Amino acid sequence: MRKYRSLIIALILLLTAAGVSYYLYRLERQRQAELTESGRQKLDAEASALAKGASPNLTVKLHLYDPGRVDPKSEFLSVQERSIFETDDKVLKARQIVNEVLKSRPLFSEKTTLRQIYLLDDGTAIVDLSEQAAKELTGGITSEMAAILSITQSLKANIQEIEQVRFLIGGRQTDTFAGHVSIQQPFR
Amino acid sequence: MAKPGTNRLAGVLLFLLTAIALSAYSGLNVDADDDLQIWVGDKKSTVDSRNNQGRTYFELRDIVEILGLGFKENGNEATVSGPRGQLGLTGNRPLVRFKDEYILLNQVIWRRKEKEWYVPEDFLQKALPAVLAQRLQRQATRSYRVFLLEQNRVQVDVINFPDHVRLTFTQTQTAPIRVQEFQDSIRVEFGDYLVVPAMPAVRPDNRIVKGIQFDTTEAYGGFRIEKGQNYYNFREYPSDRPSRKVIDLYAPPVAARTVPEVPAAPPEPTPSVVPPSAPVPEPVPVYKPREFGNLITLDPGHGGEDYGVNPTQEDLEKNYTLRVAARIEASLRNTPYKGTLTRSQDVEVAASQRSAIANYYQSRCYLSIHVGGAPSQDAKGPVVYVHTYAGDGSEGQGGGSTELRSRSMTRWETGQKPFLAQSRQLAMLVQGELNSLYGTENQIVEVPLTQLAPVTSPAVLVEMGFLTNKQDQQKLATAEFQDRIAAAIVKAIQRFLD
Repeated sequence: MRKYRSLIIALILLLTAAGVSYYLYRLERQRQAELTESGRQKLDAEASALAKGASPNLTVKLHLYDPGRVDPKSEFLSVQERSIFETDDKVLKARQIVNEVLKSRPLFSEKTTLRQIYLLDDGTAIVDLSEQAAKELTGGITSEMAAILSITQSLKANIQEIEQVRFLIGGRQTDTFAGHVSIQQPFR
Repeated sequence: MAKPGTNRLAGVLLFLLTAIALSAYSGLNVDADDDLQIWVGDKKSTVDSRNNQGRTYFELRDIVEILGLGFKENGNEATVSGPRGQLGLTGNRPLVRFKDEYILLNQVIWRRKEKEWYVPEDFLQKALPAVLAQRLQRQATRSYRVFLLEQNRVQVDVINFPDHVRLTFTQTQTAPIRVQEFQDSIRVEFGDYLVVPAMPAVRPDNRIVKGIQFDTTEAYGGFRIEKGQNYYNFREYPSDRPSRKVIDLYAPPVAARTVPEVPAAPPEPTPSVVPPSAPVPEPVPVYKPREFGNLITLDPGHGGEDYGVNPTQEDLEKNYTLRVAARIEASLRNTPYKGTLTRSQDVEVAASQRSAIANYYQSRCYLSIHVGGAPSQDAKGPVVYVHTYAGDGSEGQGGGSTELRSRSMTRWETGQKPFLAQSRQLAMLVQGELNSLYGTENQIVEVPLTQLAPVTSPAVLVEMGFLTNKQDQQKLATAEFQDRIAAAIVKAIQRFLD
């Protein structure tokens, strides 16, 4: 037996090390999976509804930029109907509305995404758009105002609690939306 | 029964495990055999390396000998002296002192025992070049070469403006240039090459700049600009081809500010008033160019990397804005007014800088010149914008200038408040002139605009047509139409001010 002792100890050590590593690896994988799933469920009603095979069932009236209208003033928005998933969660509703507005072409490019949206108790919605919202814009005050007003008006028209909208670009408060229009103050 | 091979296998396994454990534990303390090499000419010298707590160190005594530097030790402190100065080292600290500053290394200096100091590799990259007369360049991993420093001829030029002195430092190499302000001077330091100065032929205005000296105490040579008694502040900007640094040193803005009623006659220069009872201080001459009071600030939008609206590679908004603004400036020469541009070249200027220029010159009005862009190609014609304080609902009522006249402090972004009514008036005049030029019926638009908000004079932003509209673009591209736009805008300015 003495002859085997060192062999057995070495094997036990190796097996223990391998076993512990595998256990820790599994534990971490499981934790990551849970985190992703909970984040997805919480943040994206559309995805979870799609997973259940549902189709958009709530009609909202959005104020969208209408390339047909040529008046370069603020009345260039037209009311159009879109469908979103019904939810009691106002943040999820606001999120879906902004995502619908961001589908307006050619005002926004496909690269423009909504990073995050927050609703504050004082009636302010904070809309955080990706940097492409500014970079991919045609430029000029008309484009900037079209982007700002279509999001602001659409949110206000569909969610009563929202009184004003403040914009962030790429997660930061910037001086202007895309070079001209000041977004240091919220829009009503 | 154990085979003879089993014992051998167990032995090998145990040996492997022990070796792994041992190397993991002690490998950090084993001397590394990859020493540092320094080439001086064709001669290669080697610096011993040693590991301490998992980090690689090189023997300082070797480095000092190879480079011909001086070394002195005083307890836990040491100095390395070279032709350009001294480095102060402290054992177990990651800092090296050079003159009044500290150079931070990424690991501590190791004093192993008396006279035996070890430094990390970045000591050679960050600290040593400061005191060497030669250039120490990293060739490969742990291999350095000493070069004689190449020369960098720096030509200094002086231009005296009414309110500022412009110093231009043009270099033959593209060395990094650092500008630092001290109480009595501004220092301009050059890196990488030995500076050979060419001093200016013109003397600077000695009220703003007392003198310019070549400063040999800097690592590679630099310049010391001595401030004059009327110096107020400075602005620096780099420029390429040839590589140069431009420094503008300014006299203070006019001390006594008055806000003119508009429309009003150009204000007379108001001397600063000293109360009779107060002890009379040494009078500091306030520089006031005669144009003050009659200036119109014209701001060609965008510039440099900021192209503005650009539907195609060639059609850049920034070029149109500069061309038309320059034409307005030229047309204004035939009027009692004088135009000044926020940029006269293709450079990027921050929005706050543009507004600051208008405020500094106390201009009679401010026009930011732009070209529009829209996602729809149908949007066309000129649109004139004025600022609105959206959200806070406290627009300046009555358009008076009482807020500024009472000399209370004004927040930067609320500067435009007292002028909103006048801005609207100017906007309508410009819109009217441009509408008749284009044959359109566009209206002025109120939008919160970062650039107009701080301007303490009537201010408008003119979008002279849409670059995204074919007809507008074709018109805008001709010099003849640009002249007509400039003439229309000048006409509106004159109607507003007269």
